[in-house]
Amino acid sequence: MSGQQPERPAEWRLTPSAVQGIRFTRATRRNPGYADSEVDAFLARTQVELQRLVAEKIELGEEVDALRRAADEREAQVREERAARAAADAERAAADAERAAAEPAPAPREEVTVQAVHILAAAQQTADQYVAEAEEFSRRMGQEAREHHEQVVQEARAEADTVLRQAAALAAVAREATPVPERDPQALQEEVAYLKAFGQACRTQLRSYLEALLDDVEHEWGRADPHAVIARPSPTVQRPAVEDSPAGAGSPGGADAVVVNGATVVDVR
Amino acid sequence: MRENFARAAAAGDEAPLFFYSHLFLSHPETRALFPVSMVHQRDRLFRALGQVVDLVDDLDALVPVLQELGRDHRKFGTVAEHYPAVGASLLAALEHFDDDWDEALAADWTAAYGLVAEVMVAAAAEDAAEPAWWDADVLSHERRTLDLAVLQVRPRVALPHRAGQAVSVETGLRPRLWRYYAPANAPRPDGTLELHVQAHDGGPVSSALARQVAAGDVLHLGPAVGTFTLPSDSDRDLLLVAGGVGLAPLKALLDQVARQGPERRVDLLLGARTARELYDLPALREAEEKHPWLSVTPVVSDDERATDVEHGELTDVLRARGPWTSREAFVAGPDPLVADVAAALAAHGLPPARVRTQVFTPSRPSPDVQGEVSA
Repeated sequence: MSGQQPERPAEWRLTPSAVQGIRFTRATRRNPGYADSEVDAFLARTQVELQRLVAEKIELGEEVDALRRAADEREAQVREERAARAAADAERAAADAERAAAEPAPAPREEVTVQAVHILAAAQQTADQYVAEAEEFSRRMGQEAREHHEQVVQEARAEADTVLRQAAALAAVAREATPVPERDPQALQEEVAYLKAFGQACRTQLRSYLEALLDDVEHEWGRADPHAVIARPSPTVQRPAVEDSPAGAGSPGGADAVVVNGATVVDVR
Repeated sequence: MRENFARAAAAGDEAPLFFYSHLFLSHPETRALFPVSMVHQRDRLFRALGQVVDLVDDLDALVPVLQELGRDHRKFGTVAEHYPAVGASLLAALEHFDDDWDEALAADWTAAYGLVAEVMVAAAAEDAAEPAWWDADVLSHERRTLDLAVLQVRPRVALPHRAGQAVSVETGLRPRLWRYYAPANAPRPDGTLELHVQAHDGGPVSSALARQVAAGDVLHLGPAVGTFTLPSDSDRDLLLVAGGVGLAPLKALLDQVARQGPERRVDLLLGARTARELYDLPALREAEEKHPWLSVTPVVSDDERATDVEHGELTDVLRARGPWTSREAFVAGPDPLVADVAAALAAHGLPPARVRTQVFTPSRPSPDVQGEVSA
């Protein structure tokens, strides 16, 4: 349809100036008016032209409608986009405002509303409550821990007392069983050594005395003078043994001295 | 103004709550100056304000209190710029709780607060040469009992103090919470301080100081305050009676006699429930050996096994010893003990003017109007 438009310059088109320039040939004298054939031809062309104009008009109308629709659509789209952008802007602005509100204002704000004061007061009270609960919890824990501690210490002390009492009782029993007074081991050893040495000395002296007595019995028996034999050696032997032994026993070498002593006794005889 | 203040005070916790919320909203930077929990803070504010209102007609009494407050607030990080902010919020709170608020009242309060702020700022400025607070290194931390520790700390800059005074202490473990402790020594050449800390169940600062702080940590100390000190115009013999960590300021007093004289008789009676609570007895016995003028008598009420101590009630032993009538007496410790001993001494015939007491309570916020450290 639209393809016809470029053909137009090649075709003859009925235009106002063309209509103005139309000159029909005069008919013959016999037949006054224009020549029929020319008028007919013009009419035919006019019909074609009118048909084409009508068609073109319809076509253009349709095109206008389509364009108008497209324009409307585009406009709607633009409007929508603009609205979306505006909404985003508004949101950003709101966020900014919120941030600004949250941030500490460097200068005193003009108006602190009572409502804001109450909101902050409520938040502070909540925080206070939490801190108080934590402190109370800590207080209870501390108290219980101390009570527990004191109980444990008390029990331990009671137990220690019991153990000490039992030990003391056992010690008393043991002391009664062996009533010997306790002595220094060193002193005991010295005494043992002394007693040993004393025993040794006694034994040596006794042996010497008995031997001497035996000698006397063997040698003097025959002289029939028993009084002289028995009376003479007995005082000389016994006296030094008793007096010298303790002095010698004080030292570890006491046994030797006593032995020497015993020998002296024998020598004296 | 008093009426108006009474109305706000009648609102109880609501009024200071409103005040602080208003302050933090209008000046958010001030929030960092306060601890997380504001309960005690709120109590304190209106108590302090009440004192100011009570004394508002008696400037001679009020000014020293305000000066002390101003100086004391430096350690909290308060600066002159904060005062107008506080004033504005205070007015807002007072207005909020008073339906009869009018311009005249607003003008009165503005003028009154302006005066208060002026005195406080001026006092703070006078002290500007001194640090607002002292950083102090913990040199040693010794747990003496389950919940009692003895700390040696050294302020990095000399902290001037007198024997018997107290300093406030803050640890980074419990930011913005300050508690008073009396150093147990007179000023030493090396500037160190001995702190006796009894952990109280649930006490945030005391339990942190007694159990968590260790050598190498840093504490913040406030300026020395308090009047529990030896009178300079008297060289009478001393009677010191202590319970618990009340020993600390008394040990400082006898330390002062030892360091500076004048030499005089000092009798220290030390009350405890069990021998285990006599946490500092070895050091005291050592001092007793060294100084012929010192006599230390531990009195244990509830521990039959204890040796080398007196058994019985502190007040009974006190009465049995005597006579104390010529002495200057200093009594420090928990409340019932201090009251009992003070009553016993009064009955004994000691003039009240010569009996100084200091009550140690679990939480001692700040000095009151009289400059007393005890709460």
